[in-house]
Amino acid sequence: MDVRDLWAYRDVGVILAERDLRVRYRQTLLGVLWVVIQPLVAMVVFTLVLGEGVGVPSEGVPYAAFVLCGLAIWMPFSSAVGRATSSLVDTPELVTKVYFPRLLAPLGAVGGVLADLVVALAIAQIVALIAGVPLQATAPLVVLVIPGFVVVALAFSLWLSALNVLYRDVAYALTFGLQLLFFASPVVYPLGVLDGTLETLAAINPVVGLIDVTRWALLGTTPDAWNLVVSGAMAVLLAAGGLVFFRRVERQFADRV
Amino acid sequence: MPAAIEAHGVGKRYRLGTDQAAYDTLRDAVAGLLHRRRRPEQEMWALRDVDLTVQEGEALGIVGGNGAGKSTLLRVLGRITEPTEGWSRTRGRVGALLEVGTGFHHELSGRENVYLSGAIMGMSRRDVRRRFDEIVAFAGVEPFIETPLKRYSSGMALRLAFAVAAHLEPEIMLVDEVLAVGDIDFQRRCIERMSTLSAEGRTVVFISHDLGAVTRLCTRAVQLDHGRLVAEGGVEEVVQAYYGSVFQGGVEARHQVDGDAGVARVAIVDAHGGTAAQPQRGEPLHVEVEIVLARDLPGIDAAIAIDAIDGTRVLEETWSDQHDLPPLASGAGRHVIRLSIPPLLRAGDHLVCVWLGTESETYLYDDLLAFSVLPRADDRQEALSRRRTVQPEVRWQRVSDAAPPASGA
Repeated sequence: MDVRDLWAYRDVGVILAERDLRVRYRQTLLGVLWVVIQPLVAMVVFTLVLGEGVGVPSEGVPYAAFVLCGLAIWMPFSSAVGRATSSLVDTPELVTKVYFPRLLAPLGAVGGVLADLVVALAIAQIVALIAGVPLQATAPLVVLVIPGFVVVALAFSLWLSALNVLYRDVAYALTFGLQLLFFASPVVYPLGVLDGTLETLAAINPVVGLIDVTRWALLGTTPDAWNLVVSGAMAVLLAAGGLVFFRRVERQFADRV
Repeated sequence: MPAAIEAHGVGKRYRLGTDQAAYDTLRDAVAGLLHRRRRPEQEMWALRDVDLTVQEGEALGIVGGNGAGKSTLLRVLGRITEPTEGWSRTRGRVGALLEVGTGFHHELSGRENVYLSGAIMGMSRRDVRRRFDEIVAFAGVEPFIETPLKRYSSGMALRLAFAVAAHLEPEIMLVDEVLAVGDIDFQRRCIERMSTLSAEGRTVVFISHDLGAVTRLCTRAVQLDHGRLVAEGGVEEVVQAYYGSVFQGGVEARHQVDGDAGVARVAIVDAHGGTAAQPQRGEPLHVEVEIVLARDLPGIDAAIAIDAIDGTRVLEETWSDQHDLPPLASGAGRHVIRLSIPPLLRAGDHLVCVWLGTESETYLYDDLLAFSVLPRADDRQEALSRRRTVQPEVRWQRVSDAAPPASGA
């Protein structure tokens, strides 16, 4: 694949990412505050219902801090995948009228969410401190989550954005699919509550490793090493496969969008 | 010197019906797999075996009728779509302005779109900033530069698109039919700007129905017909040959009809329906069109347009414009209709363009006949060569004679 081409056109990706960021909060009353409000409100609801109510375990840390670390990954992730999926079909006037490496469309969409991710991680750290979790020596390592996030988001986005051009069903299936993935991911519960086989099965989800690493860095929990390996390998495989698939079908985009 | 644009054996195939249109949902794709045998695939080669070399600094015109593959060729050259076979390559930054509509992002403001276009053309932000005021001034959109593009009128968007493409110093500029929209003044400025670019040594590839503009701007031209390159050479030569090959000049043209609806014959006739001798200026003109419908097509309508040879549309009238008539007969078979035009056309060459269609579908839209309006015997040669679109009967009148200087001054 032509990396030089991608580099030559990098500004297009940057502008698309900026645009995504700006368009998202333009014409909204609370603007950027939404980035803060959404995870906090979700955290309160989940803590009351699942943490206090049902008594879901949380690996020995306060449930509020536990769930917020999961949400800090999940919310930007679902937002990135959603935006990337429609990134090509939403801009027919670009795809059918000018040339640029089409990969930049999903890349730009994922990139546009990174600011949200950083803010969400910062809030997670603050809430963890307030909830009484001591500041971890591993906390700075949370930046590793950012490149990991890009790979995991692309693992889904490359497939979905290209498929969406070919079959518009993808857009309909997406909401439902993300809902299922939410419950399959250890956002509101630890993976450890599942028994052996089921846990291994659940770990093939690339999101698992990302959330586990975040909790390890900010909260000091001990992730299952095997789960990390399986989940990480899955993310890389899916992303690489998505790249090949995207490159194979991109020649049809201009005729299909 | 290396060529700016090189294309070799380029072919572009479109699948009709099955793959393209029907597979928009997964369900259709699955159904298509099961029924592949029963639905034979229809293919259409929009381009075939096209070899083309454009030297750096050259201005090339592409001429050809509707559906000849001009736009597809430009899309291939601009890397917007990949050829099914063959290859093409360009050297240098490409500024492309394809068809109507623009390559802008509708959620972004005019300003942001200028930078986006710059990035697409491979320019740094600093370079774009340097040309920014010039672009906005050319497009005449200063008050709206912070407005999202979705609120622009199509004319404004087009002006901005051309301004961007022409001012961001593209090494290669591809322009398709941009002059079809926009007012006369803007069209003139576009042509001027492209001439400047060309004179500065940039490469320009230009498609237009306006053959006058093609002739003025380009030095070389190629003609496409049904996706194939059929003529190549100096612009005057190719444009002339294009007329010769596509239009049977005269007062009558017969055409093959295939598909659901078409026109078998177009003729200039006299008031009684007989084929006219060459029409003369100052006389009414009657255009007769023989429509052939393969099946009943409710809602069918027809339009006749007369274009001057430089591409100016002199008139365009549809059957349904005339309210005291019943709708056009839609039954299968042959229908002959006639449009009578008062003495209006100037002496010179004209084209008859016919459209056949319904509100939702176009069956035919093409130039079908070229004819000449003869000058009158007493017309002076000098009077014939003036720039004008129409030449109706006009009267001069003396309103007052030279009065003696007012007395008492």
